[in-house]
Amino acid sequence: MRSIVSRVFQGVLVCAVAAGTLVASPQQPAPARTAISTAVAGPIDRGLRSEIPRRSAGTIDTGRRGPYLPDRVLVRFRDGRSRSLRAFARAGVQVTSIDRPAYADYDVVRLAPGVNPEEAAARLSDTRGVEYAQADYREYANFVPNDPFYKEQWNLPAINLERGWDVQPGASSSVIVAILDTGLAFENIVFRMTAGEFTQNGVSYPALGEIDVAFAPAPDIVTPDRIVAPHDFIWDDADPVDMDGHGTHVTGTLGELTNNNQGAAGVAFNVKLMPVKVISSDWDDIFNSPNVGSDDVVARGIRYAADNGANVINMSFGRNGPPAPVVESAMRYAVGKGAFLAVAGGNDFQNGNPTEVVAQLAGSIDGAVAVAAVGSDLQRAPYSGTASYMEIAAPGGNFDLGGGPGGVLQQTLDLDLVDTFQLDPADYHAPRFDAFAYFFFEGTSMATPHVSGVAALLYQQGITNPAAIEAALKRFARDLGPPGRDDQYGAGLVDARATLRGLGLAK
Amino acid sequence: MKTPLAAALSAILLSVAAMPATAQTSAPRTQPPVQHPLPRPKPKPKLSNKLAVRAEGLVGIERFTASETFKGIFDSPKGAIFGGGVDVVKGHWFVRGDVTHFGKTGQRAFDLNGQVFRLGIPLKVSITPVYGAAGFRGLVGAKWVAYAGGGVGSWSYSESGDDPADALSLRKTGYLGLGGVEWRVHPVVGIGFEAQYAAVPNAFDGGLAADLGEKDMGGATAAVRVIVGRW
Repeated sequence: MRSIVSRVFQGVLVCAVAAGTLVASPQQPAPARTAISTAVAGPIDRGLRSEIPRRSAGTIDTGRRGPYLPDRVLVRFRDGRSRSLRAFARAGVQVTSIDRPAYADYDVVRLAPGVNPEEAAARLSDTRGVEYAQADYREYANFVPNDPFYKEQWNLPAINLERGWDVQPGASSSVIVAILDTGLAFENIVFRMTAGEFTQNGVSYPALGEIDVAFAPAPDIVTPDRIVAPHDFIWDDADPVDMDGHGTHVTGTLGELTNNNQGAAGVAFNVKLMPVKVISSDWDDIFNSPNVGSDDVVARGIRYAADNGANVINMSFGRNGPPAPVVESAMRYAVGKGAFLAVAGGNDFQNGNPTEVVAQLAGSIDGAVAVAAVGSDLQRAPYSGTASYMEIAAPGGNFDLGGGPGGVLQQTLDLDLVDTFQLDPADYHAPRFDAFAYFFFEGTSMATPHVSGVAALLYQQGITNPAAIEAALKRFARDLGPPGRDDQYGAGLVDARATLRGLGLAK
Repeated sequence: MKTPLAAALSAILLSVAAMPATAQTSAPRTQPPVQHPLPRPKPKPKLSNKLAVRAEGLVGIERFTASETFKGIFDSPKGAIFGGGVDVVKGHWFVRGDVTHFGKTGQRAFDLNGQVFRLGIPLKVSITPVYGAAGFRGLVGAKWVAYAGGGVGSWSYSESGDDPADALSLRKTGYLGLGGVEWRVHPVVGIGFEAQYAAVPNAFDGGLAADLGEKDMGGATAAVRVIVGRW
């Protein structure tokens, strides 16, 4: 079973986090962890930023929302000189004034009331001596975040998100997105846990014994009031801290704080986050957590998220094998409660392309979608599974395209301080979960939060029916591959702007 | 001409007048015969054979043929229209030229199996038909004229929002049939009640209308006209 559907790239080193290669000793002490402090002085002090000012979806009509200014045209004559009112009258256009503003080589011609600028411009364009005439069309900002690493995030413009943000900037705190994953770096806390011995690829690693492990919130993701109803189904408590980095990275793509002059950006950067830990990591195993990621835990996590108000549920995990009716029931329950589900489509195309059971379930449920991954070339990533249940595609990254920058960049735990079990046994030491860095990952896990994020933006637009969200995502996806739906990309690459704007009456 | 009854009554009155008035104290005198005015026949109303040019204004409600589309965008398949034009009449014939306008702001939307979901993004739509029509009319009373006719016209359509890229402008040819009655409330003022049906086939080939399979821009209209001019 592959519990985590992702790959990691760190600098020039691909860290093959091979789930299942660690074998915890059965002689470990009874699972327990104790919170001994909530005040951590971590080595990372980036500070927390104030939230992005919220803006409405632009439904206010002040009479200035037309495509162009209603009272003027812009005209340039071939000789560059202005003309008199009479000259315009001869051209059949009634004007009231002519101005040549600074930094302009054309005239701003004010039209008489009732004169249509488009028609006036067309008439003037046909007039001798006129080089051009046009209505004064309004320009709109393409919101480009000022986060310094945004330029590395090819994945966000790839889904037309900048122009999507113009329509719906980051949703709001009224939308709750649950991230069912390995947890989230969301709180300052120190846990005292016991690390038992284990073997890895036949090599024995010593027990570290009882150690105090520090956790801290990811500074570019978490703000004090952003987390709602966190729960840990691996440890059966309300502290779903991330001991892997996967969940924090996924959460970053979904909702990294944006336009805060720091780090990277996320899709739905104003939503509330509900971290629900249903996937156990290597450190959970080493610390002998009472539960592991399983159908039972996942099913309960889905129901928990739905019962606690999640509007969107991100599920960047999966498994192969026989059907999972318990998970299917939970997914249908969540959709029935009004939650939209996005599920990773699976990374094992090169390993025989087995059926991803949870993704397959998503494909059969209206209100849940299975997500394929594309690289920066917008072609299917080589690992991304192909199947009849694949419904939509999103950027998951492809390290074959330029190494790390071919992946999806987000803040997560500093893996150098997390994956200490990758070191030789002699260098192996306790991990730290209070230091952060920005890492490139690849996988359908990374693709999925793009879809969840756009779903959250759509939810903010008032589309609260999960089946309608699915329909919109698929209807307005950018078709890739063979025309129409196909097994590689489903309906195509998610298009944030097209999805958020929908259709006009006739266009 | 006197009727026999009137003549008899006159004779009786005259004979009574000629009888000796035994009880009378004054000198007898004769009475002039009673004259009953004859009813003048009313002129039969008829439509003037003179060419008359009349101005008209109209307001009405149109139910669009693309009803699901309009309901999806505007929350109603109906909308108010207004307009006006010129009406030329001669005898039983009329020729009209009108321009009307529908304008409304709705929301951009999409559909799922026919159910429409609105997105809160303003969408301004206007439809301006310019048409000519001709037909036959006839009196149905002293002050009522019924009429029916048909015509052809050009339907101008535009939609726009807060993004110029979403703007659309198109013009299509359509056909209409119309009928109604006019009520003369004044020698030169009438009020008309009219029903129209317009078909503008294959006008919509995109947007929500295309998704819902509704391509016709026309609709059925009930309108009130105010007509100024001779009949």
